Amino acid sequence: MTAEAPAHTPEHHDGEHHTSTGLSNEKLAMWVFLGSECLLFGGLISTYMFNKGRIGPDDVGPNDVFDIPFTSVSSFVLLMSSLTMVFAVSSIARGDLRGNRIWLTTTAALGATFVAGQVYEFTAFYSEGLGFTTNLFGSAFYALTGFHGAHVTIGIVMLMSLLVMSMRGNLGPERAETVEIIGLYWHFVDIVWIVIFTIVYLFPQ
Amino acid sequence: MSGRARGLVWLSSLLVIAGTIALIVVAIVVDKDHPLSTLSPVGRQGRDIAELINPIFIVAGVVFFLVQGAVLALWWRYRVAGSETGDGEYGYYDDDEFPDQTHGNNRLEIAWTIVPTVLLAVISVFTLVALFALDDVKASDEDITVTVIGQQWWWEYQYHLDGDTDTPPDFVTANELVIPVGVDVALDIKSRDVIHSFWIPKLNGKRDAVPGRSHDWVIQSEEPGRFRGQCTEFCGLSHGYMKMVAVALPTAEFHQWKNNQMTPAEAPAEGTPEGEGWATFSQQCASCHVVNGLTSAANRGGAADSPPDDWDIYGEHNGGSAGPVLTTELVAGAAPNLTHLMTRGTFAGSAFDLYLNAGDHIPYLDLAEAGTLNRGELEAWISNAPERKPADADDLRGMPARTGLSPTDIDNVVAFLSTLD
Amino acid sequence: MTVTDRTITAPEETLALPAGPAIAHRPLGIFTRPQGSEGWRSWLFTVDHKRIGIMYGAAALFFFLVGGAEALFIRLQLATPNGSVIGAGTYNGVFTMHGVTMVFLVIMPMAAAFANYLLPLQVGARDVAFPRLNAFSFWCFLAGGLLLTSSILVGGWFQNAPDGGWFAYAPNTGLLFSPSKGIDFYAVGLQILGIASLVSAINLIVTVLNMRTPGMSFFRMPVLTWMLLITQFLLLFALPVITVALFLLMFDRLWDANFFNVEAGADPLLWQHLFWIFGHPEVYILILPAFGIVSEIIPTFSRKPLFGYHFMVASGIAIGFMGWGVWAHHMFTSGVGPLSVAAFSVSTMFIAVPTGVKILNWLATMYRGRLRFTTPMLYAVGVVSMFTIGGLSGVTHAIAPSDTQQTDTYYIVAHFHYVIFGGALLGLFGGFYYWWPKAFGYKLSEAWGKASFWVMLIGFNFTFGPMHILGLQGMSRRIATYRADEGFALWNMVATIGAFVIAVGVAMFFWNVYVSTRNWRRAGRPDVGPDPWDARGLEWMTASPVPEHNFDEDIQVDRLDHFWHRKYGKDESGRVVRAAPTSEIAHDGSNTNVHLPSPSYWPIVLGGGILLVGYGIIYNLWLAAAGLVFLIGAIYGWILEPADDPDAAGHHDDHHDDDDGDDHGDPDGNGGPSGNGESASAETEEPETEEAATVG
Repeated sequence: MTAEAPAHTPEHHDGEHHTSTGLSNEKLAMWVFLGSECLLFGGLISTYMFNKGRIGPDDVGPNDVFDIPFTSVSSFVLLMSSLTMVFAVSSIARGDLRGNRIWLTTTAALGATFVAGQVYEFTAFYSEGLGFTTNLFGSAFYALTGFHGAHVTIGIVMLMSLLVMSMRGNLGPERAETVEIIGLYWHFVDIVWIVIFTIVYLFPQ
Repeated sequence: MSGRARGLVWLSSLLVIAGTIALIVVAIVVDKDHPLSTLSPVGRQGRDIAELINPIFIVAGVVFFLVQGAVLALWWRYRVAGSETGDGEYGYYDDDEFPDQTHGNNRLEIAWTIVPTVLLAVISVFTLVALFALDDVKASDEDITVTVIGQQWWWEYQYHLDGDTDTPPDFVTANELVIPVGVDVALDIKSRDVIHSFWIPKLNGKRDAVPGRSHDWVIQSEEPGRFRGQCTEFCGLSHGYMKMVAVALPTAEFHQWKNNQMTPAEAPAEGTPEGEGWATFSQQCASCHVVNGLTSAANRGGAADSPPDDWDIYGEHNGGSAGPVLTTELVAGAAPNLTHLMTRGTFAGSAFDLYLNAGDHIPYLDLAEAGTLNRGELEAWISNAPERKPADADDLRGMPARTGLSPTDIDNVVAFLSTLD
Repeated sequence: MTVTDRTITAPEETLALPAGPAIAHRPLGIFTRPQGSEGWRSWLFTVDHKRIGIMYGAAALFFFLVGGAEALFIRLQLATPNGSVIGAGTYNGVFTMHGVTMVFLVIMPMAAAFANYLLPLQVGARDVAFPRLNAFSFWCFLAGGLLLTSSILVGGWFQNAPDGGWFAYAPNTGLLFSPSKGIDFYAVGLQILGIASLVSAINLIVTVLNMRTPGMSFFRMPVLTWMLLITQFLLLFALPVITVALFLLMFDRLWDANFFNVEAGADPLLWQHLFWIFGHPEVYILILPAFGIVSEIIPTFSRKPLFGYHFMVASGIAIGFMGWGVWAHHMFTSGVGPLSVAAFSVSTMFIAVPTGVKILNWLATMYRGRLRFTTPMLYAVGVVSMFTIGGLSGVTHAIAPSDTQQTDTYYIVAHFHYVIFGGALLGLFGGFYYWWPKAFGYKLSEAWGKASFWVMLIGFNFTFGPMHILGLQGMSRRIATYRADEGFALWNMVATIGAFVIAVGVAMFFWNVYVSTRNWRRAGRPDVGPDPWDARGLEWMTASPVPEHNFDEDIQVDRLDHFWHRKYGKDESGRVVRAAPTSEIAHDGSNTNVHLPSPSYWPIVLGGGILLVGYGIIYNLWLAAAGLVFLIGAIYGWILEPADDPDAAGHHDDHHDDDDGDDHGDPDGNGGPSGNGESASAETEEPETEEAATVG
């Protein structure tokens, strides 16, 4: 529900108008929501760790399918998108609308590259014999990375929506916080990926 | 409300409370003779548990009376009457009606945090000691180990008289677990389908039968007797009808029983009702039920007198894969071993008595001879089991109806079954 | 912020007329916002936290009747040995639906009713942080509740009802063992309810953290606010865990995944861990709101402040934290290993400490008080007494070895009904009686209320008291029947009679609502006044029923129980005396110049979309896809909806979205021409009363 585009105008923050914490409602809500998301991914990661070893010796396992160099590159791409997201936030805060659009586009593009990489990876794994229903590793792997991919995709949709708003002139510096809040989500999704990448790919067995 | 009416309300509510408490006390003290009661344990483990919990029940009872007494005392002492309608500006109270406005007392708070903490710490020490003692099941790793297998909705017992569960069992029986008195019998609890829980309340607490897992447990009885049990983990449609019995026999009788169990059945003579019954049985029943010595190898994929090949339900001794060999077909293919059906007091997951007069006064080993067969129930079961005990035979769970059998067929089958002693 | 651009007072007669230039900004027809504060539309499209709270309460009471009827069927089936009132198959559906209904569709939404209605009032806010999202939470909840409940009817009576118990242990809930649609209804229904609760939790957390009126620091918040806040945090962290579990279950059933496929090597204990990591905090989610309600009622009718406020808050927080470390006590017999059992056994025992602190503090509040046993007080004291029983039996099965004898028997059924019925439900009913005049402007009948309480309490004890005995005598839970020779007949019959006594008590409650409403209307709808109980919280400082804008002006809070201390001070000799009449302190709701968010079509539309997706997942994925498209459309409709209706009179908005709900702390809300004089006088009055309160 991040589409709850906050619309604080600067004068809202002037004078007497304060929230009790000083954070806007929208930003606080995003932090609270991300707290909940931690447990969602915590549950999925635990499920993966619980299940990854529970396959037979002849089953398709992590070592049979993982292509670490490829995933490292796509992880790096996703990591870079966090950097560009930072630029997007700082540019709109300065009032640099053009720069903001460029960085939003770049972030979305990097995110899309990551998702495309994931789609490619899934296809490759499937052709190597690891389907969602093949074994416990397959079910747990696709569920975990699939949920993460869905989160990235939703992030891309939000970034594109921001871009459309910006094109239509609805995203000025007064809405810098909107970009910042979506940035929070984006950074969270990236950090979660670092955890997933480490646990799933770097310690596969 | 007048003072008199108020008094009556007080009196009646006190009477209700006192009456309830009295009833509960009477029920617990007097009403002990229940076949599944946890309050009158006979097994060593059950007694250990009772010894642990009974003092705690008393402590809890004391706290109960203290708190409820405090509530009643405060009610009695500090209640105020008047202003019943409460319609004034000051609610139910007069404007100057104030007790001391105490806000709290830190010492008191700390005291009533620490006192229960200490009390619970003491209890937890006793708990941990008992817990690890009860869990020390290696003490019982002597002779007999029984693999207990839960399946919708009955129990299978595979006896390993040498305690070695890696080899095929010496014999297989169902629903009634017979143990020698005074001996810790190790149980290896498994499941073929969903989660069940094995529980003989008078002997020990329960332990879940989880598919894919093998749980060690132990039971022992200090005295001979028959002890009821009930599957206590919800296991689907007929969970309520999934019962079992533990029978503790003196050692000599146990050996007699054991030797009988290892004897295969003999084929009845052709042309007799028993022979006809066997013919029907082998067509209608033998694809699931085993009768050692009779049911053919083709039915089970092994020698006729060999143990069922699904004793090794996880395939772990079979060089199998990691998973158990749990398939839809297996669930259907496994049913109680009937080789010595007539030696058991109950059938159909111990949901029904096999003998009408099977009270404790007939010695267990004499059931087949001295018991009056519960013929009506048995016939009803054979002809339409799901009607007697809900089953989902279409989905291969539980015994399907055999409504195609004529009354004569059923009589013959019962006659055949009666030979299985 | 400037005053002029938002406090244009429109005369009433211009209500429906377009306000000139504003029409130019008006987008497409469907993107306008609904209007009007009367009739059914005003409920369907409302974003007012109070109306949403009332709808939560009404829906919960409806589902309470459904769950109660299920309970009566259970008791009828078990009244005698070899019972055959309903068969085993139906019985399994009935007890599953009874549990699911009572937990997710009765206690939780009842608590949500109080949270929605009271949290903004108790912290002195105008509304929740995100009013539209709040409405969405309700409709989403209703969608989930109706979807779950419809499982009773679709395809025949209880043919497709969930039948795996509320805990739905794998693999019994897999497609192989539960081929009906029941578990799909369970999984999808709970997912939808989870979305509703999660959105609501975020909303209420932000409301409490961010929208407190000036001076309302954390330790000036009422205990109910605290308990509800802790509850929302528990929901926030517990719901994603059950979400994961339900996804795994759905993947297994819908797409043949292997999470609980034992044949593929899965361990069914995974479900148990995930379920109970959610499930145990869930217990505190159910009980903490009732603790909060009791902590409000007892001081009022003891005429004393709550004893040990800080310890009450701290013990609530302690329960909230410790609630995460005890889940495996539901799995003592599952085979989790002796070390885990030992650790969870000990942690479970110590959670009794903060709970005990609460009981003792309530008793200390009553000590030397002036106790008036009104109906709410009866319920509150009932909670203290009954919950203690549940707490004590809880300690006895924290002892892991003894739990191996007790778990999954009727002893446990007795225990958690003493906690959930004797604790949570009695507390929530007390809350109904206590805040009824606040929400509706009249009290429920005390005579009927007391009678109903006693009937319920006696019925309750006769139903669940004997279950302790049955459990210790070895009667298992979830068995559709029992043999005649097992010795359970006597107490089961008593319990069944008790259940029908409870039903009479509940019927008396509904009768009370009917009679009290009728009498109030016949008497010409007399005003009950803002503060009918002479209570302490800010919610009593405004008119009853609460006007749409809650408070006429922001309240500057200077201490705990601010309202009480405005009413009462101490004289020279230290005696408590009245400082000012309530009528002078309380707001009369006359300030109509407060900006309020406009109603919205989209919350209910979105709820409908979710219902569509839900049925789609169960029956046909194409329907789900269509529902998803509808849902995405609705989300964009939501986003594109104008911030406010430019035509609406009275409640004017400036340019910003309603969902920032930022009128809190907005001193100019009452700065309009008409509100000016009044607020000015109130403002100057405040210090004086303060003076009066301290000096007398």
